[in-house]
Amino acid sequence: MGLNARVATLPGHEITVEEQQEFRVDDLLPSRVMRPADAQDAARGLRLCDLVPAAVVTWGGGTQMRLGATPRRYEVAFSTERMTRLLEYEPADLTCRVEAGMRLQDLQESLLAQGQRLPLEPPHPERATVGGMLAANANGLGRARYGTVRDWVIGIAVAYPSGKLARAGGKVVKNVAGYDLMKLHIGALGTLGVIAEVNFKVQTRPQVEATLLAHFEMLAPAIDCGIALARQYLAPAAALVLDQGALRDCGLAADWRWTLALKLEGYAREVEAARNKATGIIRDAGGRVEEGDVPSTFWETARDWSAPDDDHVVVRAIVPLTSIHAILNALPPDSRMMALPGAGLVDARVAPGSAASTLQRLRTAGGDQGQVIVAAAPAVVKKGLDVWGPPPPGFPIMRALKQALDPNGILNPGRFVGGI
Amino acid sequence: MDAADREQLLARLRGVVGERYAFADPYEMRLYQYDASPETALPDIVVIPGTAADVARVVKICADAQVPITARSAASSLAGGTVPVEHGVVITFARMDRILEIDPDNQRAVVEPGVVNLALSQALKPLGYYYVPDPSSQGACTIGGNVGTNAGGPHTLLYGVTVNHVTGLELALPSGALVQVGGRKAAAASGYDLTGLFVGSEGTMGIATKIWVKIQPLPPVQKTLMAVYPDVETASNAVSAIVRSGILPAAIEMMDKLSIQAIEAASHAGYPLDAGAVLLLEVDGIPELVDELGERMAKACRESGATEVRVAKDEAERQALWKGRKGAFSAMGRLSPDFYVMDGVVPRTRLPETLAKIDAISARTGFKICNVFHAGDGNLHPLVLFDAFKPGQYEAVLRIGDEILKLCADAGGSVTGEHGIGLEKRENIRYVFSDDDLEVMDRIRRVFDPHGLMNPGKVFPGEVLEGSAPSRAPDHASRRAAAGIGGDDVWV
Amino acid sequence: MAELASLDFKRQIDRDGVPSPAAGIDMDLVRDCIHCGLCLPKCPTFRTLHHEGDSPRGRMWQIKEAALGLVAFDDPRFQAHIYQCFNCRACETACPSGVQFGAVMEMARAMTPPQNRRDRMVRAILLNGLLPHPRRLRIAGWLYRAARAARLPGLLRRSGAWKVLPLGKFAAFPPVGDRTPRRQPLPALTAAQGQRRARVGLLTGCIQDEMFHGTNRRTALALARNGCDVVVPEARVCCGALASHAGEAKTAERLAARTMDAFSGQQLDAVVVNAAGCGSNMKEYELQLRNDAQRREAGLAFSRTVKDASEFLVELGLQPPTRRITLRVAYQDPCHLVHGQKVHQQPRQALKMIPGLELVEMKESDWCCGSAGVYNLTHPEISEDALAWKIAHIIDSGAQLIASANPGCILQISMGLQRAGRDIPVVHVMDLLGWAYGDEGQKPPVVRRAMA
Repeated sequence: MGLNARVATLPGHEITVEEQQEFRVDDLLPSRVMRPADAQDAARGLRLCDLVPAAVVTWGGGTQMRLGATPRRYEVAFSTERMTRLLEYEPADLTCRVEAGMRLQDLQESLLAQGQRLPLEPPHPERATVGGMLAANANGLGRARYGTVRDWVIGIAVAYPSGKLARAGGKVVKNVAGYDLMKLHIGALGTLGVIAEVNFKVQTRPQVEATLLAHFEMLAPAIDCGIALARQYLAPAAALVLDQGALRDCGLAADWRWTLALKLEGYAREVEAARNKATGIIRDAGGRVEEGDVPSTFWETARDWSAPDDDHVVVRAIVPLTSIHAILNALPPDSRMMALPGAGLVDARVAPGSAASTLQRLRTAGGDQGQVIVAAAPAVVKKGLDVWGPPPPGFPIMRALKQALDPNGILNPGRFVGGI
Repeated sequence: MDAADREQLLARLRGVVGERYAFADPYEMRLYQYDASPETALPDIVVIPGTAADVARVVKICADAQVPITARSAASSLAGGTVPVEHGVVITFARMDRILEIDPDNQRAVVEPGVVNLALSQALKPLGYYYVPDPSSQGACTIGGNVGTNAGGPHTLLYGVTVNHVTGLELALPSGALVQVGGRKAAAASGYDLTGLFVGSEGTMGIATKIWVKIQPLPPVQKTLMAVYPDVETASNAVSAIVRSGILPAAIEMMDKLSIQAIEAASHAGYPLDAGAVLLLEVDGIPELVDELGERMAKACRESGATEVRVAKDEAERQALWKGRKGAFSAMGRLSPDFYVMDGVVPRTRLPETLAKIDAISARTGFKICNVFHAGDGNLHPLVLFDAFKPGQYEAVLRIGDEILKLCADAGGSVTGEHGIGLEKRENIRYVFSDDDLEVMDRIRRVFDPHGLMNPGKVFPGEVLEGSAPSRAPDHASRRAAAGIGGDDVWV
Repeated sequence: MAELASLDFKRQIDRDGVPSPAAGIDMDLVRDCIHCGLCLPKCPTFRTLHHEGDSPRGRMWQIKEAALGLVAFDDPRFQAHIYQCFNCRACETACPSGVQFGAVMEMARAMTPPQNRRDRMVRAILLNGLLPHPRRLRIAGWLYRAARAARLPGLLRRSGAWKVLPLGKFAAFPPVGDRTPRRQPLPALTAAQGQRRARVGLLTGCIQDEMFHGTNRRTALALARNGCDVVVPEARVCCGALASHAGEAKTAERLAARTMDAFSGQQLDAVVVNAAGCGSNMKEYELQLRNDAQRREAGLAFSRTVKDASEFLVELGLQPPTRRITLRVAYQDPCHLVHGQKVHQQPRQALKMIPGLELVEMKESDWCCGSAGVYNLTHPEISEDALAWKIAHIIDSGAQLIASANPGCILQISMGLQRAGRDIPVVHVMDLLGWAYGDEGQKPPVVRRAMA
């Protein structure tokens, strides 16, 4: 039996014309679509794919499908869209268990009803799924204060090509039994298994939220302010530096070249004190604090900016805080950028034509302790780019892990670092 | 290991670390047979390397000779994590205790594995920083050991455990490689999070020889409250009530009557001897806020049945309360010649019923059981008091431990919150993980350590370690048949 | 024994049952240790030697095994680890289980033959041959002071002979102390000045009185100035501290009895001691006399009256001295004061009462300087290592003078500082107090200048 014939024996159905647009990855189309009903179902389905062996791309909300290299093969779109249940939620324990296909916004609404939340705000929560957020390690703007996905996931169930559905972690907030496989799957882009269920710890919603905008003529003091604020006890929930272009993308305009946007959260007194302190730090650095309200859509557009739905090329640098100035200096003048100084992260939208040279320059500027990747790009641009950069020193272990968990290489083949 | 093999291996190891720091004298081996748990087993050789490169060479030599390797630092494991149950070579980090770098600009410190947890925070203090995870044994336990067990501590309730504060590692692997994973930057951007995977692997994947940790600004003000309750049940119900009230304290610790007696005998910390149970709570924050939070918390305590709420009036009183709490396990020496401590976790809301069941076990078996634990995250530490010199007691205590862990698991919890599975709970791990779960973990272990030489006998139950990878059938049809898959599909 | 070494502890107990413990070791005290490891980072020999066998936990484990007959007391490896201990008892301060390490160590040492030739010599000559014999001690003291008066130390230093002679470093770099061979013994009674508040005995001691007679005089002055009648017994006694800490139990027991006799029948409110090692020892006479039920009771009663000089004065309520000493001073905690007697704050409080004196803290002030009784004689290399840390911390502290409260520490640190070419004198807390109360005796130049 040839590959196509074997793929046709798989459950699910042949891809329809409508689905062709939906499940495209770069310029590749699958021939089959599978939508498992639950975690067990996903494990069985994956086992069947492995037997073919058919290349599988797991789909959540599709908000991070521009991330990563173009897969080598793609036969099956494996969608979690039927796996959307909130399985357990005990507000007094501040924990919940959800299926991977649940949309983040749906989860947040359930939590909100109890005055709680998951302090992670990846782009497009109305579409992004929990599983996708984990696989892409999609973090929001609050990472300097609240950490990243890995800090909030306490348990996981993963379907493997072997047909096993295996769990790690658990339902309790503190647990060191067995290996911490949550960490392994977060950011693995679905190359080691299909995340089927996730256990989170959650938190009580803050009492008060406030925004503070400040404008700067010079970039360096804006960044330094951001770092100084993030380094304080109780960092701002978000500290973001935007250039004029990025600010415009977020629906605001300013005369000054650089804007520092702060989101302050916490108890009322805390926020008040933080605002006063931040104002002082900003003024000392020569910034101008903007009085007046900021449109409520600002934080949402800023959040979504780094995961565009259109054909923008987004380059992302993650570096030690002390290297951030070097990164910013290496950006081309026609780029637009947004930086999280306290997290050592810079996202830049660059022109397709200058993407390759920008990557090169940023990688030099970031040094050996930094990483520079392409966070989003259209297929045609990606072809000419080294999306992930040189593999990290631990790469041989990563390849061996991939071999151990996905020996036939069916999961997202070629999409991840070093061709994994 | 026979004598000739041992001599040969010893000679090679001495070639790396010198005569003084590798030895095999049976007398000296007796001093590396224990940790803070009741378990013991003798190593064949002990090595005390001085550098990461030496560790890598030692690991390579042992791996080539197919000799088990157990890393041991402070040996304060309560789970037998550093007991060399399969014998072989013990590597200790008594010489690798340097803080290599403090980098406030990047909010990082770089340390060797033998750096004592508290020593790091003390070194950071003048700069206004600290290292957050604070296991109760922080005066002795090392960052390397903390990485091994993914250690917690009272103040991890709000700020997270070791894995949340480690950003990079240098690893000595059985292959002989010395590899850096992660590093100084805030997050991993490409590749698997090997740092996160390694933390908590209890030495079964390799040995961390260098550790990058986050350092955090010291909270401006800390307020510590002691709430006195008539009994354990009221106190444990109060925990959920306090958390539900919207304040998340930095720590909520509980001590029962027996523990208070031991603590007071040991350190005169200021706990009331007539209390049924005491909660020790701490909030931190900016001065403008802490008083308000303290008052709200005190109110929540009173409303949940506290007969008395006392606020530590100065730093000395606060330190005394914490010193008493952190010395609680060791203080049990005052009540009983031996004790056996467990590390179960239950969801916070299940604390009252779990504690009641533990109490029933104590009543049934006649063994006294103390409870002193991290109530805020449901991390129980029942301590069973016994006398190892009385025949049969140790076995009886192990059975009690097993029963308690089972009931934690059945309540939706875990068999270990921070001490690690180690040697003692390797069979109990089945209460929380299926064969499939363990098989996947074992596969991962083999990626790092194909021959099972790194801290063997730990974490995994006996059979899993001996099992082999499943064989694969030749073609698609028979593979499908072999997998037992057929019949109708339920797919859309 | 060799075949047992292949068995781990639990299997051994399982196989053979629990053996009955050796007489002379109190198994209850041994089993207080739960091997949690909290003592390790506080142990100076573990820091130097990196070996579990040279940690407090390791030593307790070995003593337990020896007591159970699983290893022999005369096993050379056992001897080595047991005698490599400073017995500084820092582990006791770190121990949440309340292990009485010092007591257990002394019991173990009483059953363990000395480790090396040096140790045997020190015991024969110093502990048994000299200290218990007042007459011999007086002659030795005279010779010591005469040698100093004849400027022998300078000769040793210049010629470099100190590097090869036994005890050369101590002879060449002697502490601030008595230089005149002849001296006036303290009167049997120094009367209280002003209102009488207490009647106390003062232990003048053995080495203390021969080498630091001036310190004794200033202690008596400080006590008298604070309203104490100070009684000095006619019989010059050694309290037995060095013998007891080294495990010379018989000598220690005899000296304990003699000391108690010397102070008996004097209606004393307290027996004041200015040497930390002696004070710690005398507060534990019950332990040393444990083999004699009657004596044991008396020992316990006597021990309750023993007070360290600064502990006693601060509790009594110290009268502020009037003379200024404008100096930056760091206090070095003697192990047997801070760990053995838990006296930590009182010496500092006393120092702070001296006008002009600025008290600074050095790093690790409560770590052993390596003197450790006779340890610097029996184990010079390890002792030197501890001293090197101490000297470095002193220099970092910026102190102009070090105050301490034990002759051993003063000798050792003073030697270390002089050898390092530092003019930082080491004196007793009571010296400073005495000078500030107006004692006109010999002062180091640094102090003279500070009082000018």
